[in-house]
Amino acid sequence: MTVLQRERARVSNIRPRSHTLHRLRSIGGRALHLVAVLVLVTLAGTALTDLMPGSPASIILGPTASDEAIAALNAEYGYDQPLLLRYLQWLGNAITGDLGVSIQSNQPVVEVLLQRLPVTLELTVLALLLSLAIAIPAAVYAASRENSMFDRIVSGLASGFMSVPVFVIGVLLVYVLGVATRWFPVAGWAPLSSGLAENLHFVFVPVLALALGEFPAFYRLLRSDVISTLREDFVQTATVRGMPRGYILRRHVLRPSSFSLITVAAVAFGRLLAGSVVVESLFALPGLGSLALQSIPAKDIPMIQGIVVLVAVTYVLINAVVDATYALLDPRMRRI
Amino acid sequence: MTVTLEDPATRPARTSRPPRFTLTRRVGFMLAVAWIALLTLLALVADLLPIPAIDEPVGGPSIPPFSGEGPLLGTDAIGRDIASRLIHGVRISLAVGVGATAIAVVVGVLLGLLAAYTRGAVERIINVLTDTVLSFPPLLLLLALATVVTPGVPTLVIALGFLFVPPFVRLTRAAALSQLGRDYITAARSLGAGHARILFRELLPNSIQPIISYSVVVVALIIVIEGSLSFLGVGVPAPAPSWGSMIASGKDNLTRAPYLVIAPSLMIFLTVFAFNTIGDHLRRRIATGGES
Amino acid sequence: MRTSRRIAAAALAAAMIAGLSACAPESSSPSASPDGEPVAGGDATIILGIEAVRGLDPAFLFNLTPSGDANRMSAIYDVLFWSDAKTGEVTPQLGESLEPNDDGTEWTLTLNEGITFTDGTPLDAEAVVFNYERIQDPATGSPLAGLLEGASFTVADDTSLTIALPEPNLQFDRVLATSLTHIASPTAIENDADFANNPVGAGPFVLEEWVRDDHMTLVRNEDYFKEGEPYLDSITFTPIKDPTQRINTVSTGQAHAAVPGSELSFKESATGSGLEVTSAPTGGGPLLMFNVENAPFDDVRARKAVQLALDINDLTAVVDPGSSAPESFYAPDSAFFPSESMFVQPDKDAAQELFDELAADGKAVSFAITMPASGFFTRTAEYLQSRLSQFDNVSVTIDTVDNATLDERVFRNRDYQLSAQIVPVGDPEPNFAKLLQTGGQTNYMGYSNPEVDAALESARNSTDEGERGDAYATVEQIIVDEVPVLLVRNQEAYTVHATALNGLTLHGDGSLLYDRLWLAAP
Repeated sequence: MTVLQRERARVSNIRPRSHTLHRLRSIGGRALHLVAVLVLVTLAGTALTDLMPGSPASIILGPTASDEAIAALNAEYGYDQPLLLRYLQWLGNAITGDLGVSIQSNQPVVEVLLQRLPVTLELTVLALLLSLAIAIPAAVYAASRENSMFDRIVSGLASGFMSVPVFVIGVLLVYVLGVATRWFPVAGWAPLSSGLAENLHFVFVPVLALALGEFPAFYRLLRSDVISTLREDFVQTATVRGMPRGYILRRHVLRPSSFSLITVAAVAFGRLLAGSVVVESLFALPGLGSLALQSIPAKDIPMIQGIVVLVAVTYVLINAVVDATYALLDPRMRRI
Repeated sequence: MTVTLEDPATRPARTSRPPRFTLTRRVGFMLAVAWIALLTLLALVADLLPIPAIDEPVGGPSIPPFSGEGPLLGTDAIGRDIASRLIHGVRISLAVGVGATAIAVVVGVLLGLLAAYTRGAVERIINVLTDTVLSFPPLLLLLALATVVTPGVPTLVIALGFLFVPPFVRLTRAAALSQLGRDYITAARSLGAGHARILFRELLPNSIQPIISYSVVVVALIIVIEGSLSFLGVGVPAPAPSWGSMIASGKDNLTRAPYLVIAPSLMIFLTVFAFNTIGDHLRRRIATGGES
Repeated sequence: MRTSRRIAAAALAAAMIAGLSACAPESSSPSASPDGEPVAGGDATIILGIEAVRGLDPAFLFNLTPSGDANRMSAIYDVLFWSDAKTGEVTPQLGESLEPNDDGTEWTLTLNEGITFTDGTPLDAEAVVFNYERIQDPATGSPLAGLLEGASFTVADDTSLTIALPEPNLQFDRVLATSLTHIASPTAIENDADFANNPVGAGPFVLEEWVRDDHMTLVRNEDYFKEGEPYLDSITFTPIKDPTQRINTVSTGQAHAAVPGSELSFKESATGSGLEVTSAPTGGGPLLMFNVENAPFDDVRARKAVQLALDINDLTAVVDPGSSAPESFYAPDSAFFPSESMFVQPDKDAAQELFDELAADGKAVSFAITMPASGFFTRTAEYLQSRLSQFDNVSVTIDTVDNATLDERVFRNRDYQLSAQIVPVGDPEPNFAKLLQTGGQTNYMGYSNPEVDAALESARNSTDEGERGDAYATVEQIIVDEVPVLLVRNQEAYTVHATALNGLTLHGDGSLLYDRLWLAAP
């Protein structure tokens, strides 16, 4: 691992490295840190919904309701309580796993989130896998033949796709793969329960749209990593010794580079999970993004809070997983 | 691209080989700089140019570009001049991109330096705050803000600037930490330099390079985000000609009038591409210069 | 780890290729019917615009917009009576007859015999009264309460009841056929707190599965009261927000029908892609609403100035290509179409004079257009802003808001200056009257003119079509002079569908009747 890679790792994450006592202490500190983050995030969520104009009751009851009816309903839901009190009540319930009931649909928030999560999760995971499936072989090949025609073309494409917003890619893909050729559905969703083939048939175009936007980051990162590793002395030595090229690439090149890839993939995962809204809205996918897009104007406070919690917890978990992966991959950290 | 919070680690183009600026690369960089310079100029003098106002009807609806009738680049679905709207769109994109990045850089760098320099409780608080912002779903924040305050360029600048503070905090902190142990800081300390002097005269100038190159990339990122928000209808309100909202309103007529989508898409593409190229170039120079 | 990732990637690639080769989902269509006679069987997918987020409670039928709840409710609850989307003519369905007494103070509603809800509860006079009294009950908070204010109900026998109205209304059948036509099972309402999410009706289809924002599957009601109907085995509703994508799903064979939304220009693109369009041109349509209680439009000169400044022919051509400017609140073939066009020719000079005059009085016309964020309305707002800004002493801003904010700000608090709504007018009752009479349900302008009220009242209670015509003509002339609203486009309810889907009948504001839909093999 080079100085800069460690540097890079530190930028994205602060990991203590020391002996056991220190480590225990820092695990405690880390936990405290996470709790503080989660409390602040959810408190910010409550405060934000509080600032939004209009009350939930007036939205439930519609334009014809009387002021008294609205006040009564707000009182029933507890929306006339002070902010902090409301937050504490919500927090008390949330700790027991009760995130309340959607104001709009009366469905339990947890139920809705569990229904929406698989859609966004599948979209995100497939998009990540697809972009890695494009990026890894292309980057390794391009790096081992630096400045070849292949390298130039793929690097150019990567820079290009990095500069096209996903909504432009999405609109174009709908026309090319949906309307013009009719190869794929233009919108909609088929759950896994209706068969893997049909599910993939529906999810392919949105996944492709996301993957085309994501793969350049992986490609560029890996390509420059591989190029620099190939120049390191030990790789040169191994090549001179006549070790198979594939072995060298796997053992000495991909392995160190996987650090940065994991970091980037983790960040991309968190980002996609919270932000595939444009794609979900364009392709009418019943995921978290479209849920957020319709919960905000409806002032569905419990639902908004639920999304905030889900995204924040996911973010925190991803960071923890990245930490753990580092520990697994880096022998020096395993030794501690 | 979706609403994103890019980790600085995403974009480390680093090679340990000696600088090799090929001709194409140099030309590409020059073109990128020229394009951004041209856009900046257009944004500054847009009001002085002999072009119609953004809301002035200049002809029938959806006249194709270069058709001989109507203005050079044609008219949009309302009959307004596309060229004029694209040029005024530059203003929005640059104002939001550069403005938000400026806020993020200033606040992020200050907090990052502070965290690196003080360590201890202050650093922990700053860490909690950055993680809080990072783990709050950005789109929810932007959507909700759009209903709380009047949407518009100033709102977007502040909100997006706020969202991009954490990456700069982390980047600055890491860069500053790597400098703190070095001899010149110790030397300055032993010479009795005050905190402010060490922070801003010693630490900052020596940590600033990666921040500058990253901020160029963030400008590109924010331009895309502004486009996405306007595409979703929660960005800059009509009739302001944001490229994103121009694409959104053009896509209903994609088959009949594709140029309504192509023209603003091309503007976003070229601008973002140019900023990315400049960012790459800067990073490459830092990498090759600072590694030895 | 490396190996497993590679395997995963390979599996993914293989699966994607498998997905590629899978053809579009098949629609199980019934056998061919060369003679155009309805055939039984088949599953139809229908694309709507928005999800029924609040559930499907007939007491909360906010509006009859076909892209939303009204289509779903028609399939599940069916209709007691339905009003033709084009003419407003009322036809019985679950109901058998609906007759007024001489002065229209008492209506007798008779039901078909032996109808039951899908939970076994009989759909009898008691059930209808239960539904109506629930709407009246302030505790329910129904937006329809105003329609039944002061009414009382008497059950005569199992299948008939009388509705006593507080004021005479000879057009009450049209109100009932549009807004009070869906009846839900009283048992379900009483026993299920979550009834809105588990609706039980007596309609042609029964709710089987509902995954919000994804699909709502309804299956054939085997006990439907009409023998041999419905023809279809199942109906799936899918909400898609983007109107272009809605048409795309039909044109690519993914769905059988779509409700495209407010734009008429989609008709052209639909027929261009080989689809059929079933439509009902009505009167009324999208109209600008001036808030007459607030500046600047509390001054009739300001409204008049906007009316004269706008070339509505140009507006329709630009904002919604393929549509036309309305000449009256009534369709040209309506009995109420006035003897001469009510179209007001634009007069830019006169408009400028009025704007100048208002500015000289210290009442310069400066206002915000509050519009929902959908293609047609956004374009209308941008058109208005663009064209009106060419005048001196006028300043216009655009305030694009989401539907909930629109509800709150425009429809509830009336905190706006210029906004818009769509009011289809088949027969002037009830929509035209609701829009213009003092305190009317959709009179969000705060407009009040005793002359208009009197004319509407007399028209409502006259059986003489000529007399009604004169009264409505009077109202229309006053509206053209005082401009509380300004029609901007002709109205046409329509559904885009594949040629295989037949039996489309549009009722209300353009919803379908589901008992008679059938699918032919392609």
